[in-house]
Amino acid sequence: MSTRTHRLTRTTGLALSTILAAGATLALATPAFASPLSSPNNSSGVSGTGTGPTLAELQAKGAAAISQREAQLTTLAGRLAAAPGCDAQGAVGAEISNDGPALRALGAKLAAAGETLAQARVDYAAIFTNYRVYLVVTPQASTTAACGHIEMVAAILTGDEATLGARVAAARSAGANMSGAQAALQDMAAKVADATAHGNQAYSTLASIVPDKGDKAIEASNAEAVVTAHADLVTAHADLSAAYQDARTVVAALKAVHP
Amino acid sequence: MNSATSIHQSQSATGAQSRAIRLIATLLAPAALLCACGGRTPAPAGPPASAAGGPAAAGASSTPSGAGSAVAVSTPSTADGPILGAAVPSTPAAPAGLTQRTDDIEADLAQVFTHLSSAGHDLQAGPAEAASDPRG
Repeated sequence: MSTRTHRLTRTTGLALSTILAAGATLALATPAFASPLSSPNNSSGVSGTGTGPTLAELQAKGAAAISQREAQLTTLAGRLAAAPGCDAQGAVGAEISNDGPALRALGAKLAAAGETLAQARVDYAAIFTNYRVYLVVTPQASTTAACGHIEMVAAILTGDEATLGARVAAARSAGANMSGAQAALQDMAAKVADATAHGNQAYSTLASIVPDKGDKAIEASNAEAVVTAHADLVTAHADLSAAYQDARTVVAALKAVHP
Repeated sequence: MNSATSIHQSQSATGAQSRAIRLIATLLAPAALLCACGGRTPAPAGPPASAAGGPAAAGASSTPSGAGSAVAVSTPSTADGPILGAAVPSTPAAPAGLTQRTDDIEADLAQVFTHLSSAGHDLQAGPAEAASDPRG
C-alpha cells in the first residue's frame, strides 16, 4: 500500500469513527428530542386569557413564524433532493412542496384587514398545529433523505460484495488463504440486508404520519413514530458502517495476496 | 535442417532477441523511474488475466504457449509478434489470477463513505431542527 493510500485509509477511518461517535451521541440524545412534544412549551404561544397578544402582535408573530417555516421547508427540500430514492411515491416531497404555499396563504389571511382577534388566534395556532413543519415534516424529510442515502450505499455495497466475492474465489482457486475475507463478505451481505430492511422500515413508519391539528393522541403517536424511525435509521447506519469496514477488510486481504 | 540454415536461424533469433530486449528496456525505463520514486507499479499492458483465460492461465508467464497465454514474455516464440503484444508483468513472481486490482472497489467505498456521512448528518439534523422550535 502506498503512503498516500495509507494516509487516506487512516483519514477515512478517523472520519468514520467520528461519524459513529456522533451517531452514538445522537442515539443517547433521542429521548430528549421526544420531550418537547409533551412539554408545556409545546403550544402555539397564544395566551388563552383575555390578556393575550393583540391582533397586531399576533399578525407580526405569525408572519415571523411562517417565514421561519418557509426557510425550513426550503432546507428540507434540498435535503430530500440529495437522496430522494426512498420517497418513490413522492409523498414527503409533495408535503414539502404544498406546505409553503399553504402557509403563505394562511399568513395572508392572518394579515388581512378584516381579521378579528378571535380569528387571528385560530389562524395563528393553525400555523403550528396544521402543518407541524418542525415536529412532523422535518423528521419525515430527514428520515427519508437518510433512507435514500442508505439505499444508495446498500446498492453500491451489494454490487461490490458480488465483485469481491468473485475475486476472493479466484484467489482461493489460486491457493491463497482467504478465510478472513470470506467471513467478512458473509457479514457484509448480512449487514447490507439488515440495513436495507431498517431503512425502509424507518421510511414506512414516518411517511404516513400527519399533523395532529391539536389532537393530543395523534401528537403522541407521531412522537412515538419519530423515535421508532430514528432508532431504525441508527441501526441501518451502524449496519452499513460495519459493511463498509467489511469491504475494506476484503480489499486489504486481496491486496495482501497481490500487493 | 542443414548447419547453414541452423546458423542463419540462430543469428536471426539472436537479432530478434536483441531487439526484444531493447524494446523491453525501453518499456521498463519509466516504470523503474516510477518505482524508484515510490510511485505505484504500473499495471500490465496486456488484458487482465480474467479477460485472457482467467485463472486457467496461471503459470503461463514462465512457459509461454502462444495463443491463450496472458503474460507470455520471457521466451518469445517468433521474432517480434508476441513481444509487441505481450504484457509486461510488474511482479513476475505473483501467480496469474491474483492480479486483480481493487481500485474500482476503493472508488466505490469512497462514495459509500460520502453517503454514510450524509446519512449521519441527516440523522443528526432532523432531531436537532425538529426540537429547535417547540411550537412545532
